[in-house]
Amino acid sequence: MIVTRRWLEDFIDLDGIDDDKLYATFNSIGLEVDSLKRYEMPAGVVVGRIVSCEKHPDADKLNVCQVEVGGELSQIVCGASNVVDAEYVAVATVGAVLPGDFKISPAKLRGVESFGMICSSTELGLPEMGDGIMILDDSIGELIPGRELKEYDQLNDTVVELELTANRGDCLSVHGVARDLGAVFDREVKPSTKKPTRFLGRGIGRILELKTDGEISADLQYCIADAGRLSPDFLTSLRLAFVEEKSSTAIDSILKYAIHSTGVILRAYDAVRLKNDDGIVELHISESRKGLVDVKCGGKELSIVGVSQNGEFSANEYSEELLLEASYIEPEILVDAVASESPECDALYYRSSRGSEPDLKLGMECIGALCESAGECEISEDVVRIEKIRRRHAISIELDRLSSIIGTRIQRGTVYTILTRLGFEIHGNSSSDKFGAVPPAWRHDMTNIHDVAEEILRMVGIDNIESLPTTIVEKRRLTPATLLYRMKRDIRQRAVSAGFYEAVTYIFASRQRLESYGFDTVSREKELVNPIVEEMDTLRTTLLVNLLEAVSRNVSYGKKSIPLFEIGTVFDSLRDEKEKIAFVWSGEERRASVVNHGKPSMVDMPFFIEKISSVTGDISLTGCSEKNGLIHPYRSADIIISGKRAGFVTKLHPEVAEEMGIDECYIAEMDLEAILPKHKNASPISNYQGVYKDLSLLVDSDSRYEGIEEALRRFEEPLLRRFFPVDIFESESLGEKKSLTVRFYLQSDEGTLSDEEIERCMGGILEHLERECGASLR
Amino acid sequence: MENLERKIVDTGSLEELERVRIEIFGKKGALAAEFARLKDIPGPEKKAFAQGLNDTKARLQKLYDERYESLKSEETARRMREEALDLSLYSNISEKGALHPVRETMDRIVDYFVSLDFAVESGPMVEDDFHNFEALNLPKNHPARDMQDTFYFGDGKLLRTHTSPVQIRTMMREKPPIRIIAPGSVFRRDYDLTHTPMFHQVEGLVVESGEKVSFANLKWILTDFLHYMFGDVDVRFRPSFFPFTEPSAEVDISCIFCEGDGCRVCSHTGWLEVLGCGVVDPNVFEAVGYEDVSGYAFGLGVERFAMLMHRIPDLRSLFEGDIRLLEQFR
Repeated sequence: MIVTRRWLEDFIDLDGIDDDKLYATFNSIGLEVDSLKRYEMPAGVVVGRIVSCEKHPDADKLNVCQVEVGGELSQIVCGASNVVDAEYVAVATVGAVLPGDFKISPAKLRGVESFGMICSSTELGLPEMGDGIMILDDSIGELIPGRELKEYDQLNDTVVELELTANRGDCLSVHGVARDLGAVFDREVKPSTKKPTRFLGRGIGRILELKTDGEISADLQYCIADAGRLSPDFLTSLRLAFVEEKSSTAIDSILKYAIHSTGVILRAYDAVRLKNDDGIVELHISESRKGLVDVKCGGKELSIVGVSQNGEFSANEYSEELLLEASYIEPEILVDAVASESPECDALYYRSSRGSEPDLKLGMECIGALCESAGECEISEDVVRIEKIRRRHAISIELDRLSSIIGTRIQRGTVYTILTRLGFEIHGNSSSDKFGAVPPAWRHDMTNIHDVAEEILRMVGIDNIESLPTTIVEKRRLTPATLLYRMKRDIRQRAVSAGFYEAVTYIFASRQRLESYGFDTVSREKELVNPIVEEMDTLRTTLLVNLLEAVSRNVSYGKKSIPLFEIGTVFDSLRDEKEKIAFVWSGEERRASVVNHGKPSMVDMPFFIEKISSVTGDISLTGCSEKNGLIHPYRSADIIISGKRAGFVTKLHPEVAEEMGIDECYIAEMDLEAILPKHKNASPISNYQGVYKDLSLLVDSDSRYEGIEEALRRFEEPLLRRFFPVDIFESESLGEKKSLTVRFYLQSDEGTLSDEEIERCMGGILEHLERECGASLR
Repeated sequence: MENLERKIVDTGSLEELERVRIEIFGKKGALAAEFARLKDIPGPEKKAFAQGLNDTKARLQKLYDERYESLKSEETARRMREEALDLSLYSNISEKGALHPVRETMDRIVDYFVSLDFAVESGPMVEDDFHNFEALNLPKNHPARDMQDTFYFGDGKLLRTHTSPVQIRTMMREKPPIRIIAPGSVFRRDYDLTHTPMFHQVEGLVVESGEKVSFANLKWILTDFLHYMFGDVDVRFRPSFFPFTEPSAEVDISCIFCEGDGCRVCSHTGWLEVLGCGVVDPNVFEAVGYEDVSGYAFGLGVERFAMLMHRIPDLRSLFEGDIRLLEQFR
């Protein structure tokens, strides 16, 4: 919503309030200032009166004008086509400096001397006002040739753009904004002094008949006006330019100005086209559905109140007689109706849906005055109107309650004054701490004491409220979510220590992509219906695809070592949510440095697993049961934690790697729940020395260590505390076998182990493995 | 005797000194030989002779000890010089990764509120209209719904547009007092220079029975919070409008880039908007069945905080796993 200082001054005296104060005040009362621009006429630009205007002898498009500028005639050459119609113009005299550092000097245009320049609005730093030069009239004050434009207040203005919140429909007009300023500055706000003075001889009752069907939810008011030749005055056009309202015809300008100024919804129809054979306009008002009020004439739809207007009957530049309509309907009723019927809405719906100005008289008077100043136009003195009876409810105000909402004691007098200034009607005893206040008709957002508290707060000024810490009662607040947050933080820190960078990717993914990699997708009925882009048309069912895309990007940025991890939510086909953790490592193990002589190794599986386990703790790896397109069939495994399948790890399938332009890449994804810390209990520790013993076993080349592991788990031997593989050796000399060295740790709780005990134990192990796994000693 | 002293003093290394030690102090050494002569010395002179020998021995021992210490420290010094390493070659070789600046900023925000006795709460990303809009005093068709563009699913559910649903769920599950923050991902259908379809918020809610909680309390905690996050900045509250709070305010800090002079970041206003807040609207309490309570709520965009605090220029870069950005936070 754009307002200007001068326009506001039509309603309120802003003496003593400079631009800085205005800016600060708007912000402090909740009308946020988006921008504030000051317009000032340069010195040396004066009013000029064109005495004569002749075509330039040598140039088709130029005219030579004799312009009266302060008692003398100046010859000025001008290229604008509209100069031939102009009487009073803005003349930049020699020596003046226009915006853009443009200095005016005497010149010769095609051989004809020119002393000064007749200006267009933009040349003076004003907004654009049509093609050609700016034509002045006395709407800005008495035009005296030679008088500096600096002295005409209306041309020196401050334009403020306000960002209004959705509940302040009442401030969608200059009058409305002035009202709010009047409340905070405690100054009187008067409706504009512009009122029509001349009226049509004939009464409107002779021309207009109104019929209504039952009770109508809207207020409507009608006037007739003789249009004559309308031409909005300069001030009207200037202000419309300041507030960035573009209009095509004179009647359009007038309507837009009146609407912007008063906030009333105004429409104009061509009365001649609506007259029946008897010369009467018969209007039929009906409400097809609560909230949608139709205005019809002779069976044809003219408009729906607050929603739209039929262009066929709208007044245009050729209309000789106008039917003017002012309307109001409560926004709550209108919005509900529009939502269920979805009619097409025009630009005015923005206003009516937020609550337009209910005082229709203000709008009619404004438009009447404008028509009068725009031409030989007279408006009917009386109106035809329908008005809905609305009960305005009082809000019960308890001073104690107000004070406790705000947090500081508010004086009764302060509340009374503020509410009165804001247009509330106070009922009840004004010296009591409890009273009723009826909100003004233009504030449909006032429903309860909280709304009133906001008004008090913004008028008093939030800065003037002393802040207070809250006193609370102790209560345990370690919710599961709080604890989970901390656990995740610890896990993330470990991942960072291990060398990973934390990525945050979108929960969206491309359905086509996920499916092409063999991942599940959310079922169709539960799918997104309005994705923002095609590549993000579904919810991700894995973290890995988005992470791999990030890897691919990093490769293109020239990164040689790309370790990323992410903890995030994924969805399943039923769209249920689950948190997972995923790791990817592509390229080099570490950064090039003196340590690795500038040639770091490429990441490999053991390295990747070490890195992941430093975050998750020990993980068991077994045959891979996961099936998707990213899995390398021979270099992948299921991740088992505490006996449960938690996820999978794999080298990225070479085809996918190639497609994405990624080098050696390892990926893993697990349920987050599986790696959350668990409670641990201590076990007794033996004081006696244990021993390490290695066994090198010959096993089938294609056998897996987990076979040996499983067999050893089944072997009951209390002295065997730990075992783990330490070497694998493959060679042609071994034929179809490979050598697997396993290290055993034996320990007793009763005493130091004797050689015989060790022999016996190892012998038993070997025998067991020979039997269960077909392994033999190398 | 001087000969022996000379020998000790002239040794050039610990090995040499050891040889000299054996020569002088050893079982077959010079001193031993002299002591052996004792039996041949006539009686009355024995004592003097032995005394003289002991003195000599003591002197030599002292010289030896001194020489030993001296050679030892030279040896140590020499060895240390051999271990000389130009450590500047090993600057900046850390393999540490980094936390994501948005997540890390969220951690910092959560820390503040947890320290002031707030509990963390969480909720689903897929929500329904009631929890995301209606219960928050945003009935269908309200123009204020235009403020947010929503992602919808075929079955009528939606992706939450703020973390306020978590507050509703908490209130429907528990009785007051409530003192929670809800950090999490939120989703809006907007994708341009300053908007991403997914971003992070932290919203807070305090509810106490009776009339204990006021706007003044809200002013206190948010002012303190902003000083904690941004240091000594000016804090400005501007009345505003949110459907679920009344009175409402938007909170600005004085621009940390130009310190209030005006720059591109603050659009030459000298202020940066960082928070929304207000006293909870009674309609919200009604929707969750609370009676006779008062409360306040606030919300902030984590990306906004992270970008301001760490001078991150481009919002979209935060979602690309771009190591060129992430490695700057090691």
